Amino acid sequence: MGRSVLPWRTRIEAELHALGPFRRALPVDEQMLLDVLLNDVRTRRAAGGMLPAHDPWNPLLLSMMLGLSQRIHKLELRLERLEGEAADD
Amino acid sequence: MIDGWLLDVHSDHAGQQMLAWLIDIDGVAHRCSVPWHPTLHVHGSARDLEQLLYWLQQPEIQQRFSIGGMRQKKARLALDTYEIHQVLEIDVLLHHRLKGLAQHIEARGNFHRFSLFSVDAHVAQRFLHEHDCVLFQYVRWDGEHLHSLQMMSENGENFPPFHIIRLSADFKHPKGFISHDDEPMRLEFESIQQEGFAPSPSFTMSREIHRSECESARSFLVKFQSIMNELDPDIVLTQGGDRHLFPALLSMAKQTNAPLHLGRTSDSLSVSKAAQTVHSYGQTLHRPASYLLQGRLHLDLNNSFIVREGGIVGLFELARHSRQSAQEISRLSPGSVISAIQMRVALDDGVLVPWKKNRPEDTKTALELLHADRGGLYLDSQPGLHGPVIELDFASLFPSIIASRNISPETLNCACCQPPRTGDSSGFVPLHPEVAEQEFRHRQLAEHLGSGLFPQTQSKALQVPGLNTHTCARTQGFLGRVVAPLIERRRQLKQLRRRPGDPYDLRQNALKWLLVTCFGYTGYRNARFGRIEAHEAICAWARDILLTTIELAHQSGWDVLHAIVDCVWLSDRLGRTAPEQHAAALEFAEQVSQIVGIPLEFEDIYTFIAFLPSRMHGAGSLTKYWGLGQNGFKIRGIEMRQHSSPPWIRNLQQTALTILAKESEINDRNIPSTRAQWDVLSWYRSEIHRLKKGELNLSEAILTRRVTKPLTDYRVKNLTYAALERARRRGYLVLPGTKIRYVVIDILASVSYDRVVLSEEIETSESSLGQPCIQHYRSLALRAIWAILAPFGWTETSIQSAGLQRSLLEFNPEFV
Repeated sequence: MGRSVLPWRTRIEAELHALGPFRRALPVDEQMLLDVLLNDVRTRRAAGGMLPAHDPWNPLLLSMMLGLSQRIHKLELRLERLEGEAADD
Repeated sequence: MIDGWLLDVHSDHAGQQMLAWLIDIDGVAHRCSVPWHPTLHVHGSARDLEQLLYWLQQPEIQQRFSIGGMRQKKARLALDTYEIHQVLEIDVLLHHRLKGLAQHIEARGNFHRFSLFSVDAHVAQRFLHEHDCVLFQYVRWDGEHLHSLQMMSENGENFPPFHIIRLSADFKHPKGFISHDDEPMRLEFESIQQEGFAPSPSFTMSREIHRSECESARSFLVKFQSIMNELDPDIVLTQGGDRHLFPALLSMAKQTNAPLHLGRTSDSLSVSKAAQTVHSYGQTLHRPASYLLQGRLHLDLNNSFIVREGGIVGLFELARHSRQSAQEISRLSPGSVISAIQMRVALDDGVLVPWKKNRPEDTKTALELLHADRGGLYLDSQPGLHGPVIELDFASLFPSIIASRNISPETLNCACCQPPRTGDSSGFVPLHPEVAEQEFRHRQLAEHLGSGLFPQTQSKALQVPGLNTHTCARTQGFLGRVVAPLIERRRQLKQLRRRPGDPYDLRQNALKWLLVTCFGYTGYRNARFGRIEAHEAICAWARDILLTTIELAHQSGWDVLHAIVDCVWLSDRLGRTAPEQHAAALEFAEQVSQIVGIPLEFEDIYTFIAFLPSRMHGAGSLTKYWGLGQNGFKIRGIEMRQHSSPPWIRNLQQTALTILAKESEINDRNIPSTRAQWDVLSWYRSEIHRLKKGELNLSEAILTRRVTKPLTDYRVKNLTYAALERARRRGYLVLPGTKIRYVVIDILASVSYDRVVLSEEIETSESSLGQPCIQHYRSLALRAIWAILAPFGWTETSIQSAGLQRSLLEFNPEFV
């Protein structure tokens, strides 16, 4: 008895670690963008763990997409605010 | 006829009878010899049992294993079946032959024809169960039997007026390596009145003897023995008695041929259980040999996790619940105690306790395994500094899930119930044991529950969230009946608690550890009443409860900054004042408690709390935080909480936090000001300066590491290896499971044992042994101060270069 399956955090950390060679071959600016995407996954580990799957890439990609959406949403709000200020002027 | 409090029960030296020790109202000890022997139960086919009976009746076998009477009997063999089976009951006249006989029968049945029961239930527990007595109870000895005169006290009264002495020693070589040949130079008997015990009539003045005042070692021991006889304590407390004092006394007694009877019988002092190295939860631990006394209790305060956590009153509380000798369980883990309580409840239920568990894990698909084999939920923290923040904790979450969701090996996926298709919480079982019992009686009466042959939909059967598992609505689970009284008892003790550390607090803390281990034991492969599906169901409910709490918190105007399995940290979103937040949090906790059926309690309100980022990637790290609450700092996971850290590092962090907590330095957003952060940096630099100037004492830099394997098994020559090698060269063997303490003096030294000096050398050396290694301790200090400043946005580079460095990845730009 005991745990048979690796904890979700360990599984995704192994997946992200496996991207190391891919990251090395990227230009430095793209490496930083990739790091942001990877941290999007890390900040949603608890949610990912609620979706156990054979293939960890489904929750992984969902987390990255959510991170991207969040940043787009922030930009939309900022744009809206700037447009509002411009219209007031 | 003798009336008195039952101090201890144990088998006599020959293993033929039980000795019960009673302390009467005048403090006089009475030895009561009770003829009693344990019995062994064997189950098998009728033919196999007959053949076994014939075999065991052979005179050679009867004599070899001290077999008394044998009889066929009917008994319940498992929790999940009420069927009565035929078993062979065998009386074993000499207690210590029990296990040998069990092994013989097992081999006789080719290890598959017989199932054995009642083999390793502790004899004291079985004796007390058969006599319906509890330790520390007021009992009557009528010359043949023990009779209880008082129900087990559950109202938080004091323990009986036992005479307690603290036995301490000064050794010839008080510092340096411990040696059993080291002679005690002074022994002190201090009669003490322990809080939580009624005043003893035998309370006496302290006594002490000096080796220098005795002609010889033998006369020193004779004097020691006479004082022991004169004081006649019921409980002897030592600090290191098992590891140092008793082995040294025994060594002296052997060398001088002096008699040494520290118990109340004529038996000489001897090792009761040899030292051993055990592996527990990934740790290698060393347990020194035990020196148990007959007729009085020897409690080694340095060799007892339970005493460390719950004091002597906590230990006695557990001894009472488990019906085991206090001096024996003081040297056990809480897991062994909960196992003993489970055995006690099984005995109460009339179920025989199996010797070896033989229940495999249920078959699952890979996807089912992925869903089921998960732990509790950790919500990723939002790294940075937050304030004010409220922490709410579920009280005894996992044991409460066991009790309220009726989770037990025999209630999971029962054949008699089907849960309703719609989610329905009406099946939660009340936590109070008596109310829960009534509830199940009511269910039996109110519902037409059928014969149990075919599953029927039961509105009170509970579906485990996210798993294809349910729990029974008809039968109250065994585990629930084990933990519910402990939960209720702990709740009562918490209500009686007047201050942290008082006897009620210690007793509830000891119970807390029992409850903590109870969950783990459901998944432990050797636990007799464990079942991995129960473990999985508990985790599934815990995740669901925490998610429900998080959802309700969002609806009630809170941000959930972090959540760890059974607690949440909330930050207000509605702009409420501090008193309003406090009131709202209490209301929210009450609401959640009603919905999930388990109390959610207010833990603390933090002026500010820092969740640390990961050193590797900057996302939130688990269980690393520090926060200023109503009663000072709560600190988890950082260096000052780690036993391995040297005092200098702990002091570095402690002082840094004190600087941050200065009231004048907390700004209107409830967080420490930038100036306070700079003060911390200055403090760090001044300490580094002290290190570089060589002003740091070696004793401030002692690192502690637990040794996990023998020196020869090390493949990497790390610092622990260097310390072990150095100890070996000085003739000192450090056993796996013990700790080694050393200071790094030159991390780059080519010879490994020159890299460190041992703390024992520092204690005894009169010449200089060098200075703490600047390179090594500077890196430790940098890590330590990073743990304090990182939540403000500082990096190791900025700490070193004394400036703030902006980056794209900064997680808390408002402090920049």
